[in-house]
Amino acid sequence: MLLAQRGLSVLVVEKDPFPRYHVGESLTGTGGDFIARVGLADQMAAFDFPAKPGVKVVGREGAKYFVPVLRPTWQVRRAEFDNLLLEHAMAKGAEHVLGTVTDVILDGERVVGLTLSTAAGDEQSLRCSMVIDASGQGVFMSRKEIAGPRRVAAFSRQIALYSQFKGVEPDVGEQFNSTVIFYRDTYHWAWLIPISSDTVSIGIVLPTTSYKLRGGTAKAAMAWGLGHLNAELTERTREAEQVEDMHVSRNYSYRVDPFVGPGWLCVGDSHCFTDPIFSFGASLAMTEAEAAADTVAAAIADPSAEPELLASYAHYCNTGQGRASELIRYFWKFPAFFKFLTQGQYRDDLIRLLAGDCFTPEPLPATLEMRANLDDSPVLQRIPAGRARDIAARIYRRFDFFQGVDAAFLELCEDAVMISFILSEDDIDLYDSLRDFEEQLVADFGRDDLAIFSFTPDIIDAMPSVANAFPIVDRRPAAQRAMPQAEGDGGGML
Amino acid sequence: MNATEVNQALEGFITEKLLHGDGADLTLQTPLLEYGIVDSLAMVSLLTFVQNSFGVTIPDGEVSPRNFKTIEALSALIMRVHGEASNGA
Ligand SMILES: Cc1cc2nc3c(=O)[nH]c(=O)nc-3n(C[C@H](O)[C@H](O)[C@H](O)COP(=O)(O)OP(=O)(O)OC[C@H]3O[C@@H](n4cnc5c(N)ncnc54)[C@H](O)[C@@H]3O)c2cc1C
Repeated sequence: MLLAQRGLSVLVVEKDPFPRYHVGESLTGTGGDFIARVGLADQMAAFDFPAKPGVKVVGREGAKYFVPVLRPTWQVRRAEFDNLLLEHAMAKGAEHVLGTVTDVILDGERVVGLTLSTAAGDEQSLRCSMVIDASGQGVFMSRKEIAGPRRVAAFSRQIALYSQFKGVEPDVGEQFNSTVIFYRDTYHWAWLIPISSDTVSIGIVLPTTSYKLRGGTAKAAMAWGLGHLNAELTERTREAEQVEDMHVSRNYSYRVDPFVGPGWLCVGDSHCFTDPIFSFGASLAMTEAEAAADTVAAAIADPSAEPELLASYAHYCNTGQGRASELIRYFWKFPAFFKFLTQGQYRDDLIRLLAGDCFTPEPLPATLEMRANLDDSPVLQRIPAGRARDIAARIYRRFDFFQGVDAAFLELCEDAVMISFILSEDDIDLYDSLRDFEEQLVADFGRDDLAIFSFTPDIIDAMPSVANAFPIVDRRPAAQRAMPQAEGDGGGML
Repeated sequence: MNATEVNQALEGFITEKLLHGDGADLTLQTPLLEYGIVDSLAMVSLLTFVQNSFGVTIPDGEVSPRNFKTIEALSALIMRVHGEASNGA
């Protein structure tokens, strides 16, 4: 719609007939802004979409706090909302084909078109000045090896089960129609999002290891979540009746890089998705879409400027996605402190960040504060500064959040760095994630003088002593850890 | 009130209440957050202890991991807030 209204000729190819169910029902303040800017606010009123006042966070032992929205926004049923966007695009002059994009057409390095198979059964080839990949978790350009590989990111190895329910008790007062986040232990959480006057979306999110323990089926895990995740959730859903199919997503956090190139760029989930706890996905995709439209229009007007325009678009997206993911990391790493961050001098910044206002040229002070806390660890300070500490910092940042890795150690022999991971289970998905992470380490730090070993529970006895190693992360129960060593002897054992 | 007294009081509280007496390895630099010694629940009791023992109320904006990562860091924060409060009085 953004391109069509500038008079460009636009073809939207979508494989599913709209309206269709989609997850991602809570919008943030910047999503509300987008809707207002494109002139859809009045039309939104025709749907029974709840106005969203903010986010209520309910922790363990009933700790609760509320963060209001920055600007008016909505909770939506994506079937109708996405259809509204599609119809609006067509009203602005975009053409729509129901079909699946099957491949790209290349001229040298440049993407110059697409092949598609339409729902009517035709195979078509199309030439165009620019391809925008908005294929969501399908990561089309990455699968075609035009964009970079899909790399797992922190918060991977989680599974979400979700559906829609009637008969759920609403919040009252200023929090009526808020998004509610219930969390229990790290990475065990649930959302409750009212999506009409009588229906709410509920999702239960668990680490995959925990999911297996809860019966290993979507139905069993949903029942466990509603019954045990949080007392308020249990109470409010006592009379709930499920009115939509059960949907499941897993291992959904990743990044694709690079995600722009000659004749093409990616928007939204087609290049990046991080843990959905703060409902950023749809709103970030809309913010990126506006930047993508500016980029494409400018590149078509001045093809010689395309490389520079694409680079600055990529930088813009990385800035926003990076800040959103720092907020999420901070929440999971320091849940008890997050509440204080929303209440002290950083409150206004937090309201902005939670609204999706993550793309400002300079980071907000709250982001700097979170970053300092995330990166500054006494555990890292013990490792000699330089390459070893940089490697440790990378692992520290990731494995704090990586399900399935119980501990990571770094040992230095002269200049060589040896990393040992202790895995909590023997699991193929875990190996894949780990291999992927190892490749990233080697790509960034070089293969020379870097050795990486993994030990599963069955071969843990074969692991060499870590008495002289630096622990980077150690989440094993105290009894399984090595014996403490005195401070200051250079060993730095737990 | 001086830093040594604050350090000792904090060590005592953490050993007794959070480590259930098993504080042999606790030092001023032990990473309290990484080792899971201070979690959400422990933090609430720690804040209450600081308030009751030193009469210091830590402002919300200072309740951050940076200030709670070690006894040393927390003690420095308490001294600073205490100093600011008495200078302001
Ligand atoms: C568990 C979970 C909970 C979430 N909760 C929220 C939330 O509360 N709020 C929020 O904002 N976001 C949430 N999200 C994220 C949100 O769903 C996405 O970020 C958002 O939908 C991204 O939009 P998009 O346009 O990039 O991709 P999508 O909305 O996924 O759209 C991609 C479209 O491309 C089509 N397509 C794909 N491949 C092809 C092809 N080859 N040819 C033709 N068409 C194709 C698909 O059919 C689809 O319609 C959640 C995600 C998950 C996994």
